[in-house]
Amino acid sequence: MNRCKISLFLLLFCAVCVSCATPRGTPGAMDDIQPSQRPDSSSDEAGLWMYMDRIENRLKTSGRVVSDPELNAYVRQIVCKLDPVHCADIRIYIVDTPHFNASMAPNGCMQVWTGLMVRAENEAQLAYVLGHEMAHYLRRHTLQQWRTVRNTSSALAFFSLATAAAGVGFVGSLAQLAALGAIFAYSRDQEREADDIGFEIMAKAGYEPVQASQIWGDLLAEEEAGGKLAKSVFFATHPTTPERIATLRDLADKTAKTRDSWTAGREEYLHATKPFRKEWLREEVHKGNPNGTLVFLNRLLKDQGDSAEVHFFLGELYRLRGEKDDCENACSEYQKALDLGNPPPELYRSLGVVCLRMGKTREACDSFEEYLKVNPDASDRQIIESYINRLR
Amino acid sequence: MTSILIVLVLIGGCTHYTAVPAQRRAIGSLYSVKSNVAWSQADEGGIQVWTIDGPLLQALRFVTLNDGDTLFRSYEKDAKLPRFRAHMTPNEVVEFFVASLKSVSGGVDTHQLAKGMVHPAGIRAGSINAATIDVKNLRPADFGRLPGFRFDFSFLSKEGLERQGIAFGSIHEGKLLLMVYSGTREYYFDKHKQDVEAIFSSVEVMK
Repeated sequence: MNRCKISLFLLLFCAVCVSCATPRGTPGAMDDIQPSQRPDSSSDEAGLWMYMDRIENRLKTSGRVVSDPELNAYVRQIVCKLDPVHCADIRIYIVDTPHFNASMAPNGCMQVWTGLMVRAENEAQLAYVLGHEMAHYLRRHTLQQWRTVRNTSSALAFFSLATAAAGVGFVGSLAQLAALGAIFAYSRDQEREADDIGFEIMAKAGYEPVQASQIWGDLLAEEEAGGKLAKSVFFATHPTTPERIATLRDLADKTAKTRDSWTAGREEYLHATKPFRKEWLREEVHKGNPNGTLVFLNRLLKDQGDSAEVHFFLGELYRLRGEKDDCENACSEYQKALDLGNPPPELYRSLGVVCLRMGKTREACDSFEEYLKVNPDASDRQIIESYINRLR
Repeated sequence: MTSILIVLVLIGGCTHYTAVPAQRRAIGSLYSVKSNVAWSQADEGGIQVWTIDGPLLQALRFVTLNDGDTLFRSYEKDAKLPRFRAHMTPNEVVEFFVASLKSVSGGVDTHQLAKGMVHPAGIRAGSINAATIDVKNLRPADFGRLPGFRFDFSFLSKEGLERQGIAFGSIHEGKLLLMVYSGTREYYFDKHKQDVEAIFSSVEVMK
């Protein structure tokens, strides 16, 4: 009888442990991954890890990884602040590509794309996206998805999409990724769960809760402005809905009262990313999604106030887009950058090119001359001089 | 059945080369060039590709683009590739060239991309490390009787191999006429650089 009681107690104890380990049930939910845990070598999970390990090795040597030690240390300390327990198991790669994306492979390989970093307005926004990705890792969502599709004809597509979503596919194949994304996309339940956990860990770390819904909302607005072509890599695999954004906003309202002070980490974030922003913005305007980029740059002006650099890149965007009135629009933005003072030196060359296109030869000449004056060692000096000689 | 499949695979995997003797030769209907040495020529999606040791070691490509054309072609209807515009200045052509290379070198795994792309710029699509593309010395250069331009470029392949190139072109009758020579920095680029310079100097515009 005693033995029977003991058995019953053990059974109940075990049941409680399992329910602790899986606090949020989604269909097919499994135990959270534990610190330093590696899957059993004979399991399908080990196979998935091995596949991701191979992808990670190729990522390391791809040349697209930003190696700057200070920036890497900065992002790592955010991850460790969010989850000190699993921090040591996570390897972070900042990937130089202008698309918004972050991903977390089941083996602990985390990617943060520079298109996300340039868009985040503060540390709290980045922390939320990282927290969301870590939730997918902690809850082993990729494994869940793999087990859902492995016996279907979608299994092969899963691997090709897993590769793409892990950031090693061709980001230009967005249309294809978006079309097939439904296979790899986390389920709505998993996304909600990642939202909840991401939100919870960012708030626990003291980050301003409202920033979670803010970054999703901004990205959605940009995507809507850009139309079909602006489908983000991130949303292709993380379908985000206005309903989820509203839920996050409600959560923020409730959570805001639970603490006296929160941090957005705005100054720290802008300081850490400052050395890279100009190059990130340059990549952004060449990305080929002018309408989405326009929304983003205007938001940047609203958020950071007038900036010669942002006005310059708005001018570049109009110059490259080349639609009706875009020459005038470009000139207007370049002028604003000039009025603010200390614009990027290449502004004068771009202004000269636009003036040339508009038939304003004298202004074009003046701009080209100014370009050579501020760039005496310009590598394209000879061709600029040839423009001037032809125009004079 | 198996042998038929093998033959089909072999045929599919081979590029057909023809000899280019050391003599003057028309490039499309707009200009001609004269080579002092013999080359082998292949067709890549309508682009003439000349090589001596193999296109992965060194190749000279003759690109002609109309207003609105892309440097690379994609079978994906929605691919966002930069387009050449007839009003471009040489600076903008360089910008277009670099942006085109970057747009097709998005990542490490290029399997999907390579299937869907034709690659006239001397670089297998996706095989380059976009972050290392460097263009220098854009300068005026006569393209036959036309005002033209030339520039130097370099990049690393995704495997880390250094490649070097020179491009020489002009915009004529709304078309971009561009010759792009590239090869491995180690040995093969230099091996035929002077031959390519002679080709550049030999341009005769036909109309």
